[in-house]
Amino acid sequence: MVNKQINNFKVMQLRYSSKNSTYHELFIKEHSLRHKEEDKPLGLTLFVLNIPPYITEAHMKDAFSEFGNIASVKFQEKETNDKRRSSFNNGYVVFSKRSGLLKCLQASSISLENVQIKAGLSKYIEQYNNSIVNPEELQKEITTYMKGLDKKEQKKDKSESEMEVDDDGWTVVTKKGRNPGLARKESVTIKLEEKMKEKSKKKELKNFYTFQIRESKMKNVIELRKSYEEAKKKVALMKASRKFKPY
Amino acid sequence: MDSMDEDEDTQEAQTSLVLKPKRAKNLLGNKLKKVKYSDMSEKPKGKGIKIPTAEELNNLRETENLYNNNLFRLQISELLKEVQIKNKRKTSFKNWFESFKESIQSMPELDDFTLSEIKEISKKKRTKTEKFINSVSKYPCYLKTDQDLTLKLNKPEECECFGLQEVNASPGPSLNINIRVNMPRSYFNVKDFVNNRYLVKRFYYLLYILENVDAVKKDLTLHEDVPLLPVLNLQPTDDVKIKVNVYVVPPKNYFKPARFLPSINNVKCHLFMDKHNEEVLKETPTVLYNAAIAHDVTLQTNNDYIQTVLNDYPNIQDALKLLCVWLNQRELNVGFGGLKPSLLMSLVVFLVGVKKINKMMSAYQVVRNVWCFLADTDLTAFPICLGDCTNEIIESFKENFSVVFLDYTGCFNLAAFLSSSIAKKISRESQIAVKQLDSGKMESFQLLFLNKLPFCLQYDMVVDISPALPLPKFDITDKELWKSVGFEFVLKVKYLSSMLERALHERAVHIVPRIETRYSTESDKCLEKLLIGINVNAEKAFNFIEKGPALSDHIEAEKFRQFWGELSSDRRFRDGSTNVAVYFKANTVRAKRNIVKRIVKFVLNDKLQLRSKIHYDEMDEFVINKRLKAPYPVGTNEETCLKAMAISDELGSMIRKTQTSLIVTAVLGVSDTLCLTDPCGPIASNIKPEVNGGSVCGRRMANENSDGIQRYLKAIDLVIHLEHSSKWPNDLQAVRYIKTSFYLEISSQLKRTHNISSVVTQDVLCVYYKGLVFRFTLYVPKEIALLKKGTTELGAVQYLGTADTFQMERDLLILPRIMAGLRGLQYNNPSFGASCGLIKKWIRSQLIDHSHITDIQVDLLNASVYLRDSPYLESATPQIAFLRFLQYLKELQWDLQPVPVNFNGELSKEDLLELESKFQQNRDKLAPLYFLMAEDKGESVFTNASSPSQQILIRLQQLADAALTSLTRRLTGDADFDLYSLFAPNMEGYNLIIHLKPEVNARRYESIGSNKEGQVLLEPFVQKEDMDIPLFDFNPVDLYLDELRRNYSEYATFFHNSYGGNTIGILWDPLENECEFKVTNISGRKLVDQKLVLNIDAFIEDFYLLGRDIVKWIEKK
Repeated sequence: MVNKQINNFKVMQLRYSSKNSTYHELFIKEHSLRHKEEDKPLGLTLFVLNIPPYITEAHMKDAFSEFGNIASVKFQEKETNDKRRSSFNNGYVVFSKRSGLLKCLQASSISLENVQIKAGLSKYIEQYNNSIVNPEELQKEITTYMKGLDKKEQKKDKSESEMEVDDDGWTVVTKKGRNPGLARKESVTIKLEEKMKEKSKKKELKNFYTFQIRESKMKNVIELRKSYEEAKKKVALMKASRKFKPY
Repeated sequence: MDSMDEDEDTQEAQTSLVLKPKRAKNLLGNKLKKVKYSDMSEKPKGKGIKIPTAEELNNLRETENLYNNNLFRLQISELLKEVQIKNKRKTSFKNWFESFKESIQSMPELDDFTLSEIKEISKKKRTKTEKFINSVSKYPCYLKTDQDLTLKLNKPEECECFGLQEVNASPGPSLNINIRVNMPRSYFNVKDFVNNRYLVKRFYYLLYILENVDAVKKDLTLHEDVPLLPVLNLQPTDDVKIKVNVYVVPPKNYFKPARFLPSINNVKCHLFMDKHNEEVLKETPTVLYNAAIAHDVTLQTNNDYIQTVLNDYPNIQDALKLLCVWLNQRELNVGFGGLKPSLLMSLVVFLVGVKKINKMMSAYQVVRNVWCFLADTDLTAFPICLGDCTNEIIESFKENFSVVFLDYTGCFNLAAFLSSSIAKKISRESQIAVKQLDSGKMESFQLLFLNKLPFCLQYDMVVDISPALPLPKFDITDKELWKSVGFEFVLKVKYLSSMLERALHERAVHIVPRIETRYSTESDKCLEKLLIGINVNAEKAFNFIEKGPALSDHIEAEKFRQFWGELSSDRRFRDGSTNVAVYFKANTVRAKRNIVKRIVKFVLNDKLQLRSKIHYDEMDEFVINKRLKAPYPVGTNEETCLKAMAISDELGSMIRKTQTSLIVTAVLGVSDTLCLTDPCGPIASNIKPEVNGGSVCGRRMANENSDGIQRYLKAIDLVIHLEHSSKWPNDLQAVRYIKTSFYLEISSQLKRTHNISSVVTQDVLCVYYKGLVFRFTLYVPKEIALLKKGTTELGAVQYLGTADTFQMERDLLILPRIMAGLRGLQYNNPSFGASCGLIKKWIRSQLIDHSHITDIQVDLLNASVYLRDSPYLESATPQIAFLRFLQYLKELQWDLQPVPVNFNGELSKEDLLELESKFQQNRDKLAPLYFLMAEDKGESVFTNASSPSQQILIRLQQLADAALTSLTRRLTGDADFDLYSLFAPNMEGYNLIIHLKPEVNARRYESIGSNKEGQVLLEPFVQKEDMDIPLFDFNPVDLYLDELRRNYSEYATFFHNSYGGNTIGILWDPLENECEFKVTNISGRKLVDQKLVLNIDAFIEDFYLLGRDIVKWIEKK
């Protein structure tokens, strides 16, 4: 059987069992990059594309050990980390010996026969049963975490109280104390800016000069015109979708 | 019924959506250009604003004064343009009319012959007269007369057009024209108006014209559905949209109109019925017979007068067109007794006469004034007349007709055939119309003129009496019958309505008969169809006691007993009074609704022995769970939900009373079960533990046993709000742990004080109480704040929302408010919950599940139907609410307008306008379906770009359209089919169908089924020590579907009926097939001829693998 090949990639058939006639096509090539990465040693790493979503790193390790010892399997991280979606993965299989890699590149298909894939009803039942937690253990977990947190807080408080007067004799303004400063929040700045605007508006005189009256009249006309134009647009849209046919 | 190919649908949807805005843009673009060009000269230099011209100022001011608003004005002119009749049509009619006149004037004079001579003549050589007699003998005259009349057929005196079209007030696009032909004087004798003589002569004259004119189609129909007045209906050319009605009337001033006053008898022997007392007969005035002839006699005078009034007022003519459209949409002009456009025209003329309308008014103002008049005037109480009349005459009319509107001569009641119930309905519709105008909303124009309101959607109950036609005599006296001689059916229908009225009493608001007649050669077959529409008064209709008169009032009490027969009984009431009463036993909401139906059935079947079909609650069937029998009385989904609500309230108050470090301020429901909109809510019952499933930490474990997966138990979601505190830590994980410890605290207290079992996980508290599982989540604002917290470049703290915080705020803060709104709506409109249930069942049964449109989106859509200014009266039953929802969905312009869901009117008119204009400006960036609500500040948090998607919305609209069309046909008696077919999905068009194993589907008991044998009896809940929490929220099918969607939604769309569906339909994404080789394109594909192609066979293999023990087989199409 001749292996299909394209752009340096070889096609490897992935079958659930050797009896199956249908298969996914894995695209594989030897990993080669100019800059070195420690977890992907040159000459030992296989780059695999199009791994079906339900196959995990562990499954891959089991499947590829057919060709030789596997040091590690790592999937590429996805650009979108939407939890509700998972799709086909790309990954790196690191062999412990180059011979394994070469053997693998020669092979045309790989079978998942010896891999235990948990799927279907039994998987869902197991998932459900595993979601049950013991309340006592939960309580223990909480207490240990809270104790650790308390200690950290205490330390922090101590260091903060020491910080209040610095070396040059300046007092640091904090939220506490008799005359606390404003909180540095974005919302606070926005509110302040709005207040300033209101103030300046109040100072202005309205309908005082003739030109102001003239302008306000004009504005009125413009507003009427604008609403007319808007209505026209809406009607045009309705007309375009043939909404005016009564029957 | 929904045989549309899904694949095509989606493609079509995409193309049409891409095209539409483009077209609109072009339109606008062109207009803008033109304006710019022409204004260049007027534009003053150096200023950005165009100085308004006098014309523009006038126009703007006019809009303000004479019309509601700009939009309304533009829409009116647009509609008027649409209903304009094409000039082509007008000229083609004009040409034809010239030739018609000629052919009428040159009609051959025939020899005299008598009625008895009309027989088929089988001579070879025939004279003209004999030929005519031969062809006439094919049309037997259904009217009898007392003499063997001699017919002298000769050409007419004159011939002219009249009616709506002649005053340019008839809405197009079809051209309907009336022609009046005055029969020659020589044809009549002085006394011809008695004993049907005139009517028979009139009939033969029509045939005379029919034989002598040219037209593509010629037949006889009825004038405004009045059986005694046939007219000649012609289609002059090949254009089906030109229709001509030819009326024949007596020569001018031949009969005195005063001969037809309602106090005069004009039929003196049996011509219509047998076995009459002749003495009574000769003395009784023939009211309706007189009116029919009076119509012909006064036709010319009245129409001449109308023309002089209306001819020069284009605004009034336009207004009449609008009113006709309004009337047509409401189908109030259909059938005998309807408000005909000609009557409407006379009414407008009357209003001009009394100066309620003048020529200065715009069309909008005229329409508004007509509506105001109709809304404020009780036509049945106040007689009106066009000309001058003495009080005496008016009184005599008043005695005989329910509505009196005398014509110009004062001898003919223009409203003689208008039924009083339709008059009442019209007045009601006008009130609604005026309200709509005043509301000034964008959609009001649409509701008034563009939306259809078919008969069967206007009434809560439609009774089809057609199977019982012709109607029996009932117990109507001879005298009564003789009064309406020739119109016996009118009297019978009146009798029928009055019986219903008496029985339903305060339960009904409107009882409107719809009488459809047609021209027929046999007099008792002219009544073709009889429907009665009943609007129920939701406040009083479902009362289970019908209180009669007091026992002390012997005569009235006896009458009551006689009317109700065995149903009545003497009862003592709480306040000590004793009355005769009828008691209807009802222990569920559905049974209460059913009382109305029982009463109608009692009247029709038991009292009157009529065969009938009642359309009222057939669809309730689909919200009844037939596979499970609950341990308490159950009608529809309402009882199940009410029970759950009661139990959750109990539990909620217990939780509020727990002693925790922060006080619980509120326990709020967020599950649709708690606002009654869940069609398959969890049933509170005893849940037997699984045979071999074990339990861990007080919870039953999932397992598979011989009967399959255990019945699905939905967990009911609630949110707990705590009092405010500033002591929450600034550490996110710590906040979460404290939340969990709150759960643990509540859990242990529930156990200690009430012996209620519950379990805690990291995020939720689940409580098992009275046979239901409740899931509580804590809302801690601090948690959201910590998630949002970040710093700006300047170092200031800022809060930015993420997908997670957005979801938390939506589900924990906004959703409870929405749920409260929905519950309030349910409280005010008892049909809301059950109708939502019905709608969900229907949508889901079309394989559209929550990933396409969520439950809350459906609830909100239906809520918007209830909350808008509806053109209908309140929906009293789930069925009518469902039908109206279908219509609403079908007509919904989600691409143009947001959908307001304004609970308690929290958004003011200004708010709505502002949000709407914001929506218009950013339309492209917003979700296809956009809700306007006060609760989320108009951000429509419950919809997004993909849920529901444009394709799904279009698909839903198509489905709604198809369902509504077939249902309307069924309701009006034109078709009959099994309703189950509406709730069965169409499996055509899918690429793949996955068949599931039914026993693995935990929700198999929720499917629509008719088999009663398979019903599972549930036991009432029994509290025991240390109960394990049963298996809940576990359905392998749902989990499987989730996994499929998670993994493959890039390539395919999945369809499934959540309520126990055993098939999954799969459509490959049409865009995702072949593509070039690129690393980013590789996913899920295989290499074929150096190109990447979707590896469909491998996908199918995957579906089998992921669905091990769940999938039965996969069908490839």
